[in-house]
Amino acid sequence: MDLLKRGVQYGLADWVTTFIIAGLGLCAEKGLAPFEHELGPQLADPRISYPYTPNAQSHCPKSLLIALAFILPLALIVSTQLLAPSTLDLNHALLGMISSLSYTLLLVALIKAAVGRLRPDFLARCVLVDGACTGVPHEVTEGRKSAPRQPHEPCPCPPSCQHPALTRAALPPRRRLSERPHRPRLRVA
Amino acid sequence: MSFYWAAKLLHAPRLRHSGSLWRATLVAAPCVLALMIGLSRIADYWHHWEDVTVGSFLGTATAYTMYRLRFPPIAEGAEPLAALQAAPWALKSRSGDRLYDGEYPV
Repeated sequence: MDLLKRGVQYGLADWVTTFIIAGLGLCAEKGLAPFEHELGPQLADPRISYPYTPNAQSHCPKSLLIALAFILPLALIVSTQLLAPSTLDLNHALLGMISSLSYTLLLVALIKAAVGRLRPDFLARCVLVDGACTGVPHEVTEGRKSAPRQPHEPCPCPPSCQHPALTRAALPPRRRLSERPHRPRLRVA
Repeated sequence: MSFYWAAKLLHAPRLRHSGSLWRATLVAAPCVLALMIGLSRIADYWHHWEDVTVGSFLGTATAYTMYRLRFPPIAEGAEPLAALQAAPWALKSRSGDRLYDGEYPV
């Protein structure tokens, strides 16, 4: 019974949930294909025509990003314990940090898969030949993972659902003016 | 990290009479680091500025939600809620007033 009480106090169920969310996030990040934009209208777009910076030459390579996002906060939380050591506080701080990272990972992965934009360096990654990308496949796929989308970009669903008649069918039926319920308007005297 | 440090530094009894600028700087440091990383992503042409802006809002909202699931509001305390539920008499306002109306343990 004491063990159960301690498990509740240390957020055991939340730890399990966090690891499930983290697992789902990693699966979504690795497994889901990003949303593929029609390239045609964007071929002359200067916003996706910037040069490609390889990961190793970027200001903040992926390994450093992981260290800054995970290992640095971990070290800082542990070192904060020097101020007032408490295992319960350490447990909840770590749980908060890891659950926050897990949820962000999952949300961002889902957004990228649903409406990922073309990265600013997409055309340099793609190496377009006869309307098809001939660049390194994983770099091209990565080039489609800029989130979120802009308002003017097309509907992320298949073209069939973009037909006006089908869009109309998805909305509540139109009613004639005479059939609409009377809504008294506020009048300023 | 900022929320966690903000609460810890605000409620640390040993720091009650020390200055607050260094504490504010320390709390802002993780945010500045995150901003620098975001800007580097734009400089490397990996992200559009809109992505970084929305991403930072998303990250902050998630982090604050997760923080508040386990800790009280920053101005009210730095102990985890689980500890306060076990010992609510430990929760005090900034002026040191008792916030718990129940009976103290004997």
